[in-house]
Amino acid sequence: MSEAASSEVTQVAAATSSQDPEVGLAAVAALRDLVEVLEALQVENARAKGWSWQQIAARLGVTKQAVHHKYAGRRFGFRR
Amino acid sequence: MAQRSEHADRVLDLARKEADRFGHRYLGPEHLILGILRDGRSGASRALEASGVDLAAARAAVGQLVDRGVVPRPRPSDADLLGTLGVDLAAIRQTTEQTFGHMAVGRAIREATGRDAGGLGGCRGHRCATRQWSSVRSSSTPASRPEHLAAG
Repeated sequence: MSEAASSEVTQVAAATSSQDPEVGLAAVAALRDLVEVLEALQVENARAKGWSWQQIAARLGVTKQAVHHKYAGRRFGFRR
Repeated sequence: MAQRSEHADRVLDLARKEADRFGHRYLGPEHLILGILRDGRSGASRALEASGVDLAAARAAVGQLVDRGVVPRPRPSDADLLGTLGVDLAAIRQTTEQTFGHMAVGRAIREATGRDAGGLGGCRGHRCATRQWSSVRSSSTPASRPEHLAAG
């Protein structure tokens, strides 16, 4: 696919915005992934600063079990 | 289940590259055929080429399928998609890199999306959405954490 064609699609996307389900749904999916990345960064940072899972869960508005299950297995690499 | 050979992995990798080339966020049979042809070192590729199907012809055929609406058009970049919501991905990336550092952001992308921070890792359905997060051009310099944020 040429860059010109990609650019054309991009312009169409911008013009139709979320009125087009194709674009609107893809935009929501992109936003969901963005939130996941930001949450991972914040959780990693909080753990590096010694926050407990309970403290993190309270700020995220989820249960301690949920946040622990989601992040405990990850290898956070923040150096103190 | 049969083990996937290194050769098959190589073909899959090339198929993903072909999907990227078309701006596709999924891996379909059309990309696999292109991957087989691009690899060019298998009985499958020889059979295709013997039938007059080479890489250029197959790419052109997929391009025609795109034009006819049979195969999806290239998906807009994440930056463009988020832009339709009023979200400035480049600005968010710049801010997060300045706050947490380039390495941490790359790691978070891998952890949260299952994709390589370089942006071309495995593609899994809607999880591909953030692929181009990492290809957004950022004017920021990878910075260490500012002191006021490092305080506990």
